[in-house]
Amino acid sequence: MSVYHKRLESPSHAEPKQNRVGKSNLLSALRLIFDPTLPDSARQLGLSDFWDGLEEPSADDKIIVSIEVQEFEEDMDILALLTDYRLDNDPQTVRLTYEFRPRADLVGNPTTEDDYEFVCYGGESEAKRFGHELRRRITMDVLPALRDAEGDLANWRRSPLRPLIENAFRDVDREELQEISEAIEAATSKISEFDEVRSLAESIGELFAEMSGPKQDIKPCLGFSPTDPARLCRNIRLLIDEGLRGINDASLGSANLVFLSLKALELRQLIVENRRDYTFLAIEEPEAHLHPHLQRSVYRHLFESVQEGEEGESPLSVFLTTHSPHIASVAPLRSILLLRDTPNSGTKGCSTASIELTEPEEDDLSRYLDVTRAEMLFARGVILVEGDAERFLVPTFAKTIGKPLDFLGISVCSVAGTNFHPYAKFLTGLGIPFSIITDWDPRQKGAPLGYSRAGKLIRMIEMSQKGAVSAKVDAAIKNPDYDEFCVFAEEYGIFLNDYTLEVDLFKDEFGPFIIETLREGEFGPIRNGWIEEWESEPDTVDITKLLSLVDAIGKGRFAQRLAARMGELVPPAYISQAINFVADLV
Amino acid sequence: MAAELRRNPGQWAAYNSTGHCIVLAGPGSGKTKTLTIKLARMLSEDVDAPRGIACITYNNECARELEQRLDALGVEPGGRVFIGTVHSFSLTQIILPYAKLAGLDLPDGFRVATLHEQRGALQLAFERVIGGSGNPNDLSFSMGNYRRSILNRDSEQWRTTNPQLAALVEAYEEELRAHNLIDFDDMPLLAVKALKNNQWLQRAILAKYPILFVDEYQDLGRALHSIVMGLCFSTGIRLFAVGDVDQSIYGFTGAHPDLLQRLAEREDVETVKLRFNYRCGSRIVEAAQYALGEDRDYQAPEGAEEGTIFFHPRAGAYEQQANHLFSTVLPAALTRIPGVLFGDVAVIYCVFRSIATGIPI
Repeated sequence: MSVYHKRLESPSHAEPKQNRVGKSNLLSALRLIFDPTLPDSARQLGLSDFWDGLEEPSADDKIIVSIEVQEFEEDMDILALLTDYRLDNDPQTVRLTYEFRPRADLVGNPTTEDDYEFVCYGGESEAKRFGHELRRRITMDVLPALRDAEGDLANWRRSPLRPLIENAFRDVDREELQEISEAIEAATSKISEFDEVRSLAESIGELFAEMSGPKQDIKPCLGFSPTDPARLCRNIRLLIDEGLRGINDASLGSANLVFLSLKALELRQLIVENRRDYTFLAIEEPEAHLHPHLQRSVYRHLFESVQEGEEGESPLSVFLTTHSPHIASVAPLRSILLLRDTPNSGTKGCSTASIELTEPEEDDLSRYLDVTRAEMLFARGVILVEGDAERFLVPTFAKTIGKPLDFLGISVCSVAGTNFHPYAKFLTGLGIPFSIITDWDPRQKGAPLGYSRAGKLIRMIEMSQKGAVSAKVDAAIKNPDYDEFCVFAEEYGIFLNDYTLEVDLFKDEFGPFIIETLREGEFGPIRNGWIEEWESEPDTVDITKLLSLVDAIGKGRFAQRLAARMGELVPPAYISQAINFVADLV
Repeated sequence: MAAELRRNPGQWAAYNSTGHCIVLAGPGSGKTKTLTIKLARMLSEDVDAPRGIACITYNNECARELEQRLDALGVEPGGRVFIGTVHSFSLTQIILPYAKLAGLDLPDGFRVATLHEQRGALQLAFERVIGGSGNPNDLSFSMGNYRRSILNRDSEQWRTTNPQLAALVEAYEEELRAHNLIDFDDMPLLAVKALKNNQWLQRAILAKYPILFVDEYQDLGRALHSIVMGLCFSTGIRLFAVGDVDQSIYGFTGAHPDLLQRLAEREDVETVKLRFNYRCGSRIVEAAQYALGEDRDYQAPEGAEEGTIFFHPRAGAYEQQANHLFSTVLPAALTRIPGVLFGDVAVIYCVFRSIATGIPI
């Protein structure tokens, strides 16, 4: 089964969010439709739930949550539940709708919350109501963000351990339970054989009786656990450290992890017992209290188990709302939904599922989205660069020109090479503003590498955004006038230099700093000789030799050292432009 | 309850059937009991929630009786179990949920025509197709029969058997639609059409009702037969049907007992005969087979009363026979069995020149 709400396709979804773009809203909306634990009083929303951009809700304003489902015909149980709710013109799509609106019999504009009603219906006819019958079989479970895992584990009624234990105890022989209960009773009476304990229990009892009077006396005493065999299982606790300590002594992180494991077990049990046909498990901010390594290993496991399932497709979808690049980095590439704030129309969602990527591009991106680069998903804008050198230098340059990147929410991401294509496609698809800083890379023979590279990127961006490349754009891409070409490329956020970064910097007043930085390489007499010569006669710089020295130091290290040194010097124009291009869009 | 079926090999075989099962049952053979107990068993053993069982009966009275019997077994109607007529099955399970999607070309907000509205539509259709001073209601009966008997409107048979009736039916339906109406005969016909044209719909019914029960199969007509053939023998719904080829009393509404007979002869069907008649004495059971003119191998269970048969040989014309019946035979019968009223008695009279018919008293 696939839920196509906002075109989500894969069975698990990670949802990276910027703050305040309505991640909880999205989950709340899904709960209105699927959560059986939500009372009708909570389904009756209020005036404050209307969009803030609306001045005063009128008779025509409604809150509508619609979910479309496809691929529901495989599982007969799900088909039986959903078949009546197909769209009138498309038997392959089921729609479930929640609607909060002014009461049908209301005259004039609604003024109070009592003027509203809610309905849940399927398909396109309000006559097809759905309710608990559907929700208890196709269910949404939410683990809220600031959950008190320890508290929940300690409270029998709320503990995820309860259903598991109750189930395990269902078939245990009552007589054997009776034996255990007697043993506990014996141990308890042994405790009260200690004089000190007995006298403590007595004084508690006496004091209580004095304070409460005989009618209210609850007869307190001391013991290990109540000895009624039927209640015995409620006193079973989850212990850690091989039974030495209780779970409340565990760290917050472990308690959360235990909570999650128990919940997952419970879900599995419900599915095996055929009490549920499909589950949406939503975990808000799953990164809370978890060490980064644990975040990755726990959720990688969760994602994998969801995707594979034991018998074909697993009847479980996981929604995570997260700010954690660690979690985004292990999320399946196709399952990412990005929520972004837009100035005039509220929050918009972009899903990676709808981006057209070839298989090699998808593999590239999956490998690429490691922790540092997954940061790109949380950025308001991205500057794509070739390597570590730019990655270290660009933030410093940005600060110099008064565009501090962290402050603006812009990330600089290195693609470790010149294969910008999949990343640009990905960012275009997600609607994240980006620019590309890349080298012109002239060659002895033939057109410069940067020329054809930028041309291909422009083509791809045109295709993604407009579906076709116009003759005009095609001509501009083939324009043999390199200067005109470069200006054209800038419209697409592609910024080119004249040679390569280091050479351009050397020629752009950064010579003295580069010479200084090269000296740190502590080269032998020959190579030091080159440095001396370039210092006195900058025009004699030999590009190949310069790059060989930078390589010897290490491009990244060289850039880091250079960045520390260059102070407030204005960056080359193409870099400033690339920074401003993105800064203007975020 | 199931233990009671064990003593009767036919009932027991039906109770233990695992595939399609047709139960051919004579009168008083405990067929409804067998059906209800089997349905309760399948609901608890063979079908898990949220899927269920659909049970189609001839009329609402049969549906109510089944509901009551199932209720006694702890099976509540609603939710997982559908019990109703072929009309209500067609309407609630197929037409209403899928009217638009299944391409039935029904007007928005259609409803079921009253008798008055049906007559109005027929009047208009009559004027268009036939005209003249005849009474359109005289054609109502044969039009209904024609409509129920030939399902495929694209067929040669539909066009040529009686072109005038075919045209009348089509005009009548157009008039109904023009007034946002469907009638009762429309319901199974529309269901057949929807199922035939939409593979996904057949699968959806299979998902909801992996098992279909049909009671009084012999009386349910061609449309239901066509639905059963599609759903059970090509989509995969398991069929449990009960009927009696000899008991079809609704021939005039388009019932075709031979459909049941053909179904029972299929190789992929387990056919069970319930031979014991628990209602009548052994001599009556025997005599009934002479009256049928066929040996059905019906028996009264061992130890059953013999029952008494009175012969009143009577020559003469229809009027004389009727007179004798009402003046002598009936009063004598009523005094023999206290508490029985005229309304409880049926008279079967053989008229060779036209149709055999029951005369309600």
